[in-house]
Amino acid sequence: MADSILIMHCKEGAKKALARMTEEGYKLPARFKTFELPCTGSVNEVLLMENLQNGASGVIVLGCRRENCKHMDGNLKAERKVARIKKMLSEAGVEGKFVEMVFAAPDEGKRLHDTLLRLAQEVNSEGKQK
Amino acid sequence: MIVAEQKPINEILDMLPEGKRILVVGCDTCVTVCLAGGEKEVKVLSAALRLAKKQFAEISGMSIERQCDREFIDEIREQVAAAEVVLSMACGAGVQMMSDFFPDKPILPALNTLFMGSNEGAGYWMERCLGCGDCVLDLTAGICPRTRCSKGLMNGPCGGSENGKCEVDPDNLDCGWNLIYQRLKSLNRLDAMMPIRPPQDWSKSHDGGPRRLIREDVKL
Amino acid sequence: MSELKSDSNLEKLLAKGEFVVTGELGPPKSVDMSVLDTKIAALSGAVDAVNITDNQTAIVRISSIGTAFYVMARGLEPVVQMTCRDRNRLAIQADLLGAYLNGARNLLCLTGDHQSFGNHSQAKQVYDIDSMQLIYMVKQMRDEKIFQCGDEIRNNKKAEIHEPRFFIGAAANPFADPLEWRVSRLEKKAAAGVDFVQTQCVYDMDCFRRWIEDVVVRDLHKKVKILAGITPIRSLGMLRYMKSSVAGITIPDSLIERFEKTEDVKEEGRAFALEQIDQFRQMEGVAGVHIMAIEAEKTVRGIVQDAGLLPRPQAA
Repeated sequence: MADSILIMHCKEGAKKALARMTEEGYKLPARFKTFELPCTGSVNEVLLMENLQNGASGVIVLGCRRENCKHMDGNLKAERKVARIKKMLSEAGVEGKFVEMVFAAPDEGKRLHDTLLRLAQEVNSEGKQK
Repeated sequence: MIVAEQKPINEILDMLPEGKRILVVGCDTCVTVCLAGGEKEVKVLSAALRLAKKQFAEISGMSIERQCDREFIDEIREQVAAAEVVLSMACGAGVQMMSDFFPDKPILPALNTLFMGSNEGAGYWMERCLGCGDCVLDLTAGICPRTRCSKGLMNGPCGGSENGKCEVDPDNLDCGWNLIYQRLKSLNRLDAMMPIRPPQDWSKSHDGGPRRLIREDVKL
Repeated sequence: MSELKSDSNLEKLLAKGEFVVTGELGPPKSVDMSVLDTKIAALSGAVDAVNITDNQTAIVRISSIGTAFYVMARGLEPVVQMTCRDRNRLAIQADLLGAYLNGARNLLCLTGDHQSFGNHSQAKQVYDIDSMQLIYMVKQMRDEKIFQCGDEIRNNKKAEIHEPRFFIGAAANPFADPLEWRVSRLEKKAAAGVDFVQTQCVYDMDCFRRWIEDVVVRDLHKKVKILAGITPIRSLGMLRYMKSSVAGITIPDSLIERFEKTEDVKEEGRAFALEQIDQFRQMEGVAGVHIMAIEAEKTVRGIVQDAGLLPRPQAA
């Protein structure tokens, strides 16, 4: 579990984006794990924090593109929840862990792949979160 | 209800002595409703403290019904005894009662208690009551001139009321006296604006000394 | 003519039916006497009395009462300002006794700007009483000779009563909200015992006219002497700032246009102030003007002179 990256994604746009990414031949390294949510708006902060606490290097909350949330603005709510947690981790001086919100479109397989890898890389190389 | 918010985590970390066994205790009543110190918040904060740069021997977390009633504090004597420091996520009343109960343990406040207020909508709480001890809501159509007016006037509005807003924060703050005026007007009770309301008896508020309420008829 | 309530020269002049002129002086933020000397020199003889502001905009300055003593010693009659923000009823009453003891006779009862506007925004606000209650309290001290708690104003049961007898003033704002209620608020202050009011500075003459007409209809001008506020315009920036950022000041667009077109804003400002004074003198219900030329005190004499109001009359 240590050094793993958890992708908490919605079952709508984000799930499609991940599937598309795989279809196009962009695979994620084994350290990436996924967890499906009905909507990122329902992301549970306790689950998120406990994953970090239990060894995950990072949690990526992956939602639909900004204007495309199937539940209106669940992804925007998720973004605010993530912002709050980021602030707390930063103020607590936490190192080597990150939390990020990513908005994914189903037709941008390479871009999503690059984004996810870049986030993982930044914490890997410097031991610092982005 | 009592509304409170979490202190910034760096302030909390500054308070907590390094290397100790910390017990984080939440409260299931007011601070749960205002999303500051309930079970969920205990878990999130505990995880953040475990991840923090500053290291502690152990962080345990739990929550009780209320920290302002000894019957619930009584239930956690053992857990508190096992800890070296308690971080209370209750309001100021709860922190103090815990301190009285466990005078040999540092009981630290994770929250800043703000006000007695109402939940106006998702994520929005507003101050409503000062606890002045001399309620005048019958005179002001149910709108408190102490809390809703920035100056706590009894014979407002002052000259800083414009477009129904208070000049202290015209983007966000309604002029309390304008609210009172408009409501009295809608109730056809503008005559209630004319009597000169006398000075408040502040001796009934905290200014008269720390207050107690005693009911002889229910004492054991 | 009604009996005089105090020893105030301002009251005497008003009672005689003189069109009075009051000015304003903001004390310095240090004990620099030269600042005061300059302002006193500018205003002496140009006004009948001068308001001494009290921690205006919640910025610490020499107190109104402290400055009033300095000003009185140099021959100028002060209007002491008392706000409710910084003092409780004990401090206010004690300060009033002290002010009266040293010769102050005019008192302006104000709520006071919220401390968040000033340089000590972390201070505890007081507002033990509000301006309405303050007016009433000062009136009770004068006419019923009692303190707010009901005790008689005498040193002991056998001593004589020696009450402070102030000429009581307050502010009035014809332009603040709710607009329709502003005359009623003046009526309430009259019932509380106010003797004179100074209005917020006027730029919208039509709006002011409507207010004063309502005041006259209710016969309030007979109970309360009304002084119309004037602040001469010195820059376009100042005018725009007041329009956008100051609550309770109404500036008609036509006035902004007038000042945008002019070549010499200061001169136009003077001209407008003179027009205003002229109109106020002709309005029923207006007993004088209150010229607030803060940090421009030296312009006051010229304006008063050109308005034909010099020399200032002596009070009997």
